[in-house]
Amino acid sequence: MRALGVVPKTRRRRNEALLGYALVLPALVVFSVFTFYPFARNFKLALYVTPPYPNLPSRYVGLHQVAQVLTSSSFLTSFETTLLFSVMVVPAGLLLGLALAVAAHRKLRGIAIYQTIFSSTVVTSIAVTAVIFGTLMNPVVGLLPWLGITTTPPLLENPTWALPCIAVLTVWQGIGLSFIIMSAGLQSVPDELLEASRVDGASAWTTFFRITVPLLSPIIFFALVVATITAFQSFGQIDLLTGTNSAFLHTNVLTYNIYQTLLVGAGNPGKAAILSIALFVATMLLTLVQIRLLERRVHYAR
Amino acid sequence: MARVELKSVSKKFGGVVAINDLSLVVADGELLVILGPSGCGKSTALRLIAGLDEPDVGEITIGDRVINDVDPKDRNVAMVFQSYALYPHMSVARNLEFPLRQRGIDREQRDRIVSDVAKRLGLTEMLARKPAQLSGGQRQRVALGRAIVREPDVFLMDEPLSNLDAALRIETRAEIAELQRELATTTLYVTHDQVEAMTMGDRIAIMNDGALQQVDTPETVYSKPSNVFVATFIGNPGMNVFSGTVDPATVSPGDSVLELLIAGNTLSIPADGELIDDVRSTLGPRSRSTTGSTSGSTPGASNVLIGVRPEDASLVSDGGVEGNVVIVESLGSEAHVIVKLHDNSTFVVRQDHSARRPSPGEPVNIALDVQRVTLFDPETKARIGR
Amino acid sequence: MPAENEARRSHRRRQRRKWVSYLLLTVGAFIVLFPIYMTIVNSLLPADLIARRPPSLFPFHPEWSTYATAWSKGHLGIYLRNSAIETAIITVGQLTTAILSAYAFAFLDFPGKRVIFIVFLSTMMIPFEVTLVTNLSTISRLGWYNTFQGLTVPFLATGFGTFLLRQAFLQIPRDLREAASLDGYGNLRFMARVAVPLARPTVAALGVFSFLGAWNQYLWPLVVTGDNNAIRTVQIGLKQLQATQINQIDVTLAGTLIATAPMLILLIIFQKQLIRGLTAGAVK
Repeated sequence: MRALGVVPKTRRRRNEALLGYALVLPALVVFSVFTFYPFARNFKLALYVTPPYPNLPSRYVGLHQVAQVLTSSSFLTSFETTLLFSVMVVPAGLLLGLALAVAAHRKLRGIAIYQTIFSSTVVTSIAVTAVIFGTLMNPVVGLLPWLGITTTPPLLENPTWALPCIAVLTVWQGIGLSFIIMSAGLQSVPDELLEASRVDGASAWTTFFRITVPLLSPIIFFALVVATITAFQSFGQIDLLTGTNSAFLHTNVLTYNIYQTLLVGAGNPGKAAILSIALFVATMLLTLVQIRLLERRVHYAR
Repeated sequence: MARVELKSVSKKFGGVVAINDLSLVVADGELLVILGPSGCGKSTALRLIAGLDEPDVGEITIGDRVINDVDPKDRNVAMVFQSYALYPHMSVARNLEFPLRQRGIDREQRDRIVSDVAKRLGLTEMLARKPAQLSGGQRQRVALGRAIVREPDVFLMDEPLSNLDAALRIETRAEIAELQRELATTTLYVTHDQVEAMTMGDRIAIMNDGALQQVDTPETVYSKPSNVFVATFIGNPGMNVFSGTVDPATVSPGDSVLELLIAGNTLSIPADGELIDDVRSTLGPRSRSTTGSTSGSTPGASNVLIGVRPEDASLVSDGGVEGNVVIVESLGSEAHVIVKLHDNSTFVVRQDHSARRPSPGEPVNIALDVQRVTLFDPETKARIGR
Repeated sequence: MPAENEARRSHRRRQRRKWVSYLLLTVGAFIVLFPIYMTIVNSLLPADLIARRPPSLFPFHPEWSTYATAWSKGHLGIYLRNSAIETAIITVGQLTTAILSAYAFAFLDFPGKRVIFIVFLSTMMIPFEVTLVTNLSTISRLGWYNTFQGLTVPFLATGFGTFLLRQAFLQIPRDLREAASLDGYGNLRFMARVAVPLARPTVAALGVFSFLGAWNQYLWPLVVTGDNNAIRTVQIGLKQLQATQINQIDVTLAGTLIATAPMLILLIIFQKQLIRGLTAGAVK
């Protein structure tokens, strides 16, 4: 006769394991179907020319297609554009965020209102931002005609100015996140260190550059990586403002190029897959840096 | 009823032995204290009974039920954790009620039980508060309350007082002991504090290095420690244990005195026939092989460990064992005189408040209460006789 | 009296620094607010005044009708509803899957746990844009094109959120789990009654973070929603509004403000949680 509630050890272990698998299963299914499978399939698609209509056989073309895409002027231009765009957006966004965070990191009257204002661009979506700035850059109702300046072609169709204009609104939209991250970083700098530095007779400038910035460096670095990844994935602002106009080629960043290659005109999944892999490699390198950084932070905190 | 028994239980974590061949019986309604230094396996023993860990070998029974494979929740044991394990997001009332919600007890009855327990523990005013708003002592009582609402067969208490300050600890240990006696629930109480163990336990189980050293009443554990570990661990300061020699050849059956040689001084202790026999049988066979190997001992003599409690020694003007005072620690009502003997071992003498305090460096003579000397086998460290 | 002079000078220096701070803060606020202010002004100006030079900096005769026009012509009611449904599904879904899997990683023991956890983490390295090509064909093969399933299901799991919640669960003392198990609480009940309530700040931060991300999505809703209004989200609605109301900038701008309003309210109510969510990776 077995007493009530007797469960052999092995069965209890197995039950716990089964529950564990059951709990991770839903997420694992989503990841498998919508992250890992499509990711892996890119490598296969890259070797085929896939017709735009279903049920037609794909044609194997091998690495030839990869070489063709990676050396095409379309890819090289868009890669260059992506890098150029990141260089315009990332440092400016970080500096602006840091400057505002430092300015707002003081006990002044009404500071909470300023903090809310600076954070607010995190809730303006990229579509909203694009429409707002599209208006400000409009050749008729925008700011330039207001100041009496006219450009031909208009700013957003101008080969020289289209990308910087997109960059300006991207920086503006990034202010919120950059400010929030930098503020959190500043709050983690112990006040005693700043006070000690002040007591030691250091000026405000010296304290900032010798104490605050070094202590903030892991966070600045983190913000840098996040901002770069975000810049690499920019899409909506281009789609809304320059995607269909004559300056399009000068703002055709990688993500937009994937979209174009896949969906505009005949559509070419194989080439889009190759571009996707290129985007992944670039992003992965940046993410690895980020993980390294997080690890270092953990050690630093202990 | 709820008699708890462990039969030859062992448990390893990785390669580390936590419990080695532990056999122990806790009688129904008894409060058994498991005492030992940290890492001795006492908490592990408790966790094995609770089912939070599983023994590698051996059998555990509660009542007449083998519970090795019974789920923790079906063992009907309640545990009070050292950290109290209160749910920080729940009020005191909800914490107390938590164990009942799983048992199909209706709301009305739950409320009644909770308010009874709260009244009993003086928590009625705190029922609406969160644990963070309570003092340490109040938290401790909530943890206790959560254990008793279930009316379990066995209480398991893992150092429940170690997070309280000294004064509160003294008060609470009396309360717990009283509560346990009232409820008459079998209780295993783990502590590293020997005062707690001595004052609370019906019996004390002393553990070291995963092995049980002795189980007995507090008085017996103190007066008749089963080995050197127990002798030195129990008591504050612990028993003085130092080496001396005895020549088994010089003791013959029928003698009533045992001659010990301590750091050059001879000490005669009264012995009954049983002790004489034990000394002869324990040390006798070995004496030939060790003869002459120890410098300073007479040929044919055997080493023996001699234990004397600090209060069973006193400072006298001459005779006894000689040494020099190292330091005198005065505790007000009493003082501990720490003496270095001529063989460099240390000896502590406890003096009451009336005795003259010697000064450091002063040569002194220590007289031992020969009626209260304990002998240990130097190899097995076990007590000889009596 | 040199000491008094010194004190006065230091006081004056502090005053000056305070005003410099306010100046800097105000310049920053201007940079952030000016585009939004101009949007509000332009959305309220009569059409002929928008293009007037010099421009009007204040709508003295506000025309609220632009908002009504944007609402009706832009179908913003439907789009906002669609966005709300999409966002609710994604937020609740992400929280659910993240809580379940984070609990398993934090409290349960099962073979392969470490590997599976690394698999979860590795999803953070694959941006959604990279998987666009195949996901689009998967969705149409499932018959989910232009449906809420298609819009939301690919986002129902989050590696970042799982990681965050696991960290929060690991902070819960083991004693609590053990005490609950002695009291007869199984894993699911412990999760619901103790683990999740105790991790509430993190759950809230993750919720707000998911909400924001889902609401502001652009690329996926653009490619997966069809030509009709059935599931088009408000972000894509803005693109359509911009294209169809090309001569009525004020209407487009009114629509933009309508689309942002829910998020602005969110920011004001949940600023703390939002900041927690956004900085969770950067600061411990």
